[in-house]
Amino acid sequence: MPGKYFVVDTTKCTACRGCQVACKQWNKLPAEETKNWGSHQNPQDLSYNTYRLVRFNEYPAVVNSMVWYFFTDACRHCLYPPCKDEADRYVKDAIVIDDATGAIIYTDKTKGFGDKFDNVRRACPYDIPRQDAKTGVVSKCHMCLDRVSEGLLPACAKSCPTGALVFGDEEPMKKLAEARLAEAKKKFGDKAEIIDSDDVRVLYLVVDDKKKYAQSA
Amino acid sequence: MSIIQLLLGNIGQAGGGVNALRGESNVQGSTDQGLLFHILPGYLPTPAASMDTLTVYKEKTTPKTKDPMSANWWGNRPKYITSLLKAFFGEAATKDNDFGYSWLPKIDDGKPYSWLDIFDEMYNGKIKGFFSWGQNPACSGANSNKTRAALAKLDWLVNVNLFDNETGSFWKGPGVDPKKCKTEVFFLPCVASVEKEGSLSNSGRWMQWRYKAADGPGQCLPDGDIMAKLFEKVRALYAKDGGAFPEPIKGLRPELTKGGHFDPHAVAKLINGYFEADVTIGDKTYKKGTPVPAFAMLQADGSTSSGNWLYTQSYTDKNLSARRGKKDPTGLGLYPEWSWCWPVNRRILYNRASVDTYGRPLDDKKNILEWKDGKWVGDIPDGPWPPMSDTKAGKLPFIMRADGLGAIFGPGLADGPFPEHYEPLECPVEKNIMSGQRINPTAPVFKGEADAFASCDPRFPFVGTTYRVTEHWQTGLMTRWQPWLLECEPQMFVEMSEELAKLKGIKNGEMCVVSSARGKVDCVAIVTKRFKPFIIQGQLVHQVGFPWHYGWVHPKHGGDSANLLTPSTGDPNTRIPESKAFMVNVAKKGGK
Ligand code: SF4
Ligand code: SF4
Repeated sequence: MPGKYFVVDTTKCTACRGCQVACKQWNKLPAEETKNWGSHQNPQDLSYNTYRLVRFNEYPAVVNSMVWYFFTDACRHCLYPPCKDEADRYVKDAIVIDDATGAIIYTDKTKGFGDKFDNVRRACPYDIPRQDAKTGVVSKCHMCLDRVSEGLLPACAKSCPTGALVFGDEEPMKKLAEARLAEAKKKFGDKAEIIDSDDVRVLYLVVDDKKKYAQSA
Repeated sequence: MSIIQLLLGNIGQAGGGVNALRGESNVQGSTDQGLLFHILPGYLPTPAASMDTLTVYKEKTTPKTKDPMSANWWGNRPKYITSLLKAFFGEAATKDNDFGYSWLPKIDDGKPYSWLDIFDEMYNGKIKGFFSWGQNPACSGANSNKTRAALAKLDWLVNVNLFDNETGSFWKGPGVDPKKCKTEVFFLPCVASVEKEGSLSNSGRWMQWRYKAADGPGQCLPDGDIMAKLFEKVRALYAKDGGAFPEPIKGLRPELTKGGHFDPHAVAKLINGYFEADVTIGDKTYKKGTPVPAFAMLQADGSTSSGNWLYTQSYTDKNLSARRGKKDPTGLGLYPEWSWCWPVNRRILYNRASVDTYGRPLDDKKNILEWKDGKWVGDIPDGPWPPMSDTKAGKLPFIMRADGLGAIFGPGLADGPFPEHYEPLECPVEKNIMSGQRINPTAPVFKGEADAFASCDPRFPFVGTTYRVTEHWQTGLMTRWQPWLLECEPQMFVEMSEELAKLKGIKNGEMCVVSSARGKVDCVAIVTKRFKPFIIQGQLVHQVGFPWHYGWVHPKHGGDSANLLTPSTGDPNTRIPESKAFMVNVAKKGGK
């Protein structure tokens, strides 16, 4: 499907969190009052005001004594978004698909979900949408449609210094994902995969069980 | 690192640098311009008390050689110091008054004046006033409790910064009774680096001009303007009422502080230097008041000025540091038209060491310089002379050394001649297994009450180290006020191994107290596989690590500085504090 794609190569991510902060900056999202909870991952989870979150997870490993996986988590912009299927049952076109990019956009109409929001959230295989407790509006990554439609990169991709988070048209992104996957297989073995590559516009390359990167990966 | 590169034959080669990763964008520039106590701008030694006249200074600091093959570039020192004095004092600097040499402050011979030493003197009540320009010593210096106590000994403190900080507010800090504090504190808000124009010099010596991106808020001023305004006020008071030692104050070159304003272009031009009289060199006459085109034209007779000989050529009719040309003729990343590189736009120092005696590149793939048809092609050569095969005119490549040769040891270091392994002042072992000497006998050790040390002491059994995280900058002065960054790294933490956490009954995320012989600080425990106990000389030794970005002023639950724990000792040469290896204890807060 044409339109825009991301490649997220977790093997190149240093968890600098440029993407997480750039997202907040562009979207003028307020910071949450956090505490250190025994992890560098902060805020602890996605929220109405946090569309993108870098997740940190440590595991024992054989060669080195441990591995530390970083996963910049946000909406996958599904090709056939289950969240929209569910949402359309309650409020038609509260969630829309942008023609040019394929971005999945949550409109203000999402506040009409009310207590059905939980069903919408559950419909998302990656546990992405979040509702504002006060207004009921639901939010998530919108692919920086306001930037992309002006020919700019999404704020996250623009900020990524390592080449872990890349954005572009379908063909070059798919090619890049394949090339990176081949490299990763050589270096890290056959567990390397692109998560759900036929279903989403965000192509995550992981080299271990995807659940080790995020419960909802 | 430079010894290794020298032994590998890499000095002067493309990619053969020491490539120091600096903690600030302008560390190179600050040392170039004489930030350290032992040097004036351009790496000229700071005058010592025993050098009472300019003649003695020149004699003592100018190296000599009898070897005709040695360029002995520092033989030019008299030109550079005289031009520097002319840059400081202009018309007031004349041959008859030694160009104002006697107005320069002199250090006591052999006495260090580093950060550690200054705060020790302050702690001992010997320093009365302190300008803190864009820094936060109450959190950044080793042994913060000592620093904070030292600030209370001052009569006055001027804190020039973007935000209130632990230094300016030390008098109301934890455990301090404001009523008992006599120090008068002034806070002068200044603008951030992007709110003023100027230049930065990176580790590759590229002087890069930076434009001003935005105006600063409210009444904040560039620190240069604050300095200029203060100075003009002092100068006016001297003119009106007189005062002690008026000459340097009256004599300071007017364009440095004109109208109470710091003009970065005027200062950059003065750093480049001017002809101060009509000067004829070869068959060309340079008019008084025109810029000096290159440092080879600087003079020792007062007919030129230059605030830093290394920067001559940077700003003549054009500001070369503002260039952004992207050509790379060698294909090796020298980019000769991007910014300007000292000296004389030479991108690789000692580059004549990259060729053989006939001027042919030692490495074909890294041809940065080659002698072709009677001239050098490629980078700007490190001196104009032909290759060494020309036994009359050729010169040895290490031109900054009197003997012209690279050296892996020599005089001039506090400890040496070779690098030696010593244990840190505080360490977990009784013996240095590499030699009979456990700690560096020349390391600075202060003896005051605040300078407690505890080595191999069961009260402090764990190795402590400090570091930084991506989200914060230095003491967090700028980043702790930035909500998005604070959201990512909100609070002081201590990282420890699973083994140590188990030993001390500490769970991930629990509040702990880390203590050393000098202080203690509350930290949230991060129990991680990234830390592992060491086996050192047969003993199991645990290590913990924490960042030094926090301070009690902001945010409320951020915690305080890791430097409350670190010792005031350090490297004997640079006197960089030993804050990366010292001994601590860690315990659950409220527990044992
Ligand atoms: S990832 Fe979730 S929120 Fe995003 S489009 Fe797919 S189903 Fe919807
Ligand atoms: S900006 Fe790039 S490297 Fe940094 S955390 Fe995001 S994906 Fe990783």
